[in-house]
Amino acid sequence: MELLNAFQYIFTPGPFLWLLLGVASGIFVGAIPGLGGGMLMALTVPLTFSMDSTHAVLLLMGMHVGSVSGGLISAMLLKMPGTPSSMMSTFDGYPMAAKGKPGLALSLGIGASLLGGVVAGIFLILLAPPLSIWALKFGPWEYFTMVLMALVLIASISQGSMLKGLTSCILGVVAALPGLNDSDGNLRLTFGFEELDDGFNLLPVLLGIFVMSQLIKDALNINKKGTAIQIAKESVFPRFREWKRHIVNILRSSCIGTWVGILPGVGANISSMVSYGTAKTFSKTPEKFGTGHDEGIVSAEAANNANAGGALIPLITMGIPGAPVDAILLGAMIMHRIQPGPLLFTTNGDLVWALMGGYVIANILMFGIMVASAKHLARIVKINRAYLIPIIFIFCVIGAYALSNRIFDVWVVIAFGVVGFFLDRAKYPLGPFVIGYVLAGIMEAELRSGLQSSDGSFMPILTRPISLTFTIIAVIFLAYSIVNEWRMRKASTQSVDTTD
Amino acid sequence: MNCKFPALLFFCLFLVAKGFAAYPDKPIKIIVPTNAGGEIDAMARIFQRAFQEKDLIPVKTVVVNLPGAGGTVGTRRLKEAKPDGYTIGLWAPGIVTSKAMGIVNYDHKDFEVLGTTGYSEIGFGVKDDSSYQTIDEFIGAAKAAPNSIKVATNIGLPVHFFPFLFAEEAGIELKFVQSGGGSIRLASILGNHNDMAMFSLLAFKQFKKSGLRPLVILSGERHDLFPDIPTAKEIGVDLEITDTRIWLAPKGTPSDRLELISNAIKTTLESDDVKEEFISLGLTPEFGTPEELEVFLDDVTQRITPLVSKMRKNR
Repeated sequence: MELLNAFQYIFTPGPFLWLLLGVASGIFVGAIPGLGGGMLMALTVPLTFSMDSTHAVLLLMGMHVGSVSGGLISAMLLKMPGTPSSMMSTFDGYPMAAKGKPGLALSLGIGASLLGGVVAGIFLILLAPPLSIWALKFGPWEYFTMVLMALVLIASISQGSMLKGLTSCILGVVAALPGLNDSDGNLRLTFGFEELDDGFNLLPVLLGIFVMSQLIKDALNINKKGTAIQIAKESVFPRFREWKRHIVNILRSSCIGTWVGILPGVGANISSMVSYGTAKTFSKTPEKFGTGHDEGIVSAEAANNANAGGALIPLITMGIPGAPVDAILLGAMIMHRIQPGPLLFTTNGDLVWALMGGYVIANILMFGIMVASAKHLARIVKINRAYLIPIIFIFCVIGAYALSNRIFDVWVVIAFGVVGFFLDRAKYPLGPFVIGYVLAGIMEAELRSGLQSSDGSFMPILTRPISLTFTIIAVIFLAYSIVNEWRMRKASTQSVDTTD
Repeated sequence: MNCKFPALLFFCLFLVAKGFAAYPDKPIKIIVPTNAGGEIDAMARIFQRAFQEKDLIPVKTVVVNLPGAGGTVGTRRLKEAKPDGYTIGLWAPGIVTSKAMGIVNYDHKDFEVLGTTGYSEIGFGVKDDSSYQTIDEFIGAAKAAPNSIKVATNIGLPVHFFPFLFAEEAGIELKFVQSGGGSIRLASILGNHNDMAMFSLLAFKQFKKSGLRPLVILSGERHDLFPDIPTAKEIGVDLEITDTRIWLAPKGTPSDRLELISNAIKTTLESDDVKEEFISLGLTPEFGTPEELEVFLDDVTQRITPLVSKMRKNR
């Protein structure tokens, strides 16, 4: 009943227009590499002081949902993720677009985003309190084993040489090492270089590895006749027939996305990594992942949108932001004298329902806007890169600078761009680099917290039921893939024997 | 020759006038060493808005977020800024803990202190269904089994130093586990991953329903919100600490410029709507002079510096 009232409220002109404005500006900003939803929201918060508090919250949430989705456009069409959360979409979205199906890639991404958002919305509305309590069971060991499992599941994400993939991954881990180490409060590998005290931040590293390296590559190839992608005639509106095949994948990925979203301190990029890895494991054709496979697109995009909804669950029920972006939403609510937490339902019940209803509607608005514009967006691939490169370069620089208002981050983007360019040129895959970089930080922190609390014993991995489950899955999959590899090799040598 | 001299004189006068009388004539930056959205950031923006609305500073003020490395990215930038009154900053007691940890080699003495605006009272607490009903039970349990009670913390920051100081004074040994920021510490307490952590009294009030319960507070006297909860002093632990918000400027900023800003800050803090906003953030809206802060921070520094080597060993 309250929910119906909330929907009714959202469809009155004032709230609806704010939500629409939020979603549209979010998509726009999300699609531009370098700029993201967090930045947009932080800039908007001071402007909302004089607004009605519910309008302000709807505006900010629209921006969040829009930006998470908008990132897929540039990830798929330019191989440059618009936001960190759309990073996994470069792995399959871009190859599919490059094969002449940019429309299909977009429609899969957009549709999966909508469904991911709706599934998370259902969890948010029906199961927020029990889920947030269950999420508290996750301590350092559970985080550690979950990420370990994800790492094993996506281990073979790269095509080609295993050794090169591993090297790339280790380089990513190395990039995550310098800076102030939270686990012991010491500076590590900064060589007295003060700018390095905070290490290499996520956004500049991602912009460098994915965007700047691609810009360099494109710039060097500028005189070659553009990558003439033939756009096949196809409808951008997702077809029902297509979706029946993906329904299990979408549900699974949305649940993973929602769950990772609920866990505080873990971002949307981790949720799409975990769900991508899981989708690959359950797939009948895991070898196609990374080559433009529809299941890869669907799993990554369903998960990152579901993440946004999942992250609202602890925010509403406990006042704990589920993701860094939600801290901005929390800050805005506090500025409007609304304190999220268990009392929110009694003190600001209308606002909570409007927030939950607004999240679902924001996803639907996002779908409408993106589907309507996808056909035109798909043409981006045909635009001469000479026009795009300077524009994207400028946004990358602005985005990296604005993160902490320092020029050092701009140098980080450029340096990692050069590193990424040469790695790519030497056929070292970039995916494992970023996975190593992102997961090494969180694994180290959680493992060390766990060891601090267990006095250095690794036993909790086996004695805590949730950790044990994750560990078993990781071990089984590892064994399975090794055996599989061995069999395939044996089979191939046998077939060679018989031909002899 | 004759006509050049007056022109030169006027030019000099103009320069002098521009140099001294015209401050401020361009935007003033407020450096905040955290992300947008936190409590310190919120406070800086309350002041920013009040400076403008009440016309206390004739130019625009801009909040610049410089997060990273426990706030030292921001404080370092502030320290190295030109001391011309166009860059000021807002920070917390982390200014002395970062030096004690050896992350930076400067503390509040390397800045001009404008004063403090508000402080939040802090305490240590446990989960509602924890077996420790009172602080005495807690200390008793810690004495019975040293190094077994787990404290959720953020290593090297005040949430690490203050419980450590408490343990030292109370003669107990606690186990410190790295968790992270406030919300992550809260989740780790509610999820039974750790036993105790430091929070502001506002957090204890807000998360009472979620299942957070204070054991002891570090204020001078008992607080109206929790009349049953003793202060550290009452149980014989000499520890009275608040979490202050400190305004800093680069060393060497002219005193007349500092005065202009510090007057604006004081006037802002006197207005009722700002006071109300402070209270909603859990801060006591009081202005503290640089001298008072000096005494407080010197005391903290003296007490924590000898602990650092022990803290490192205990990990």
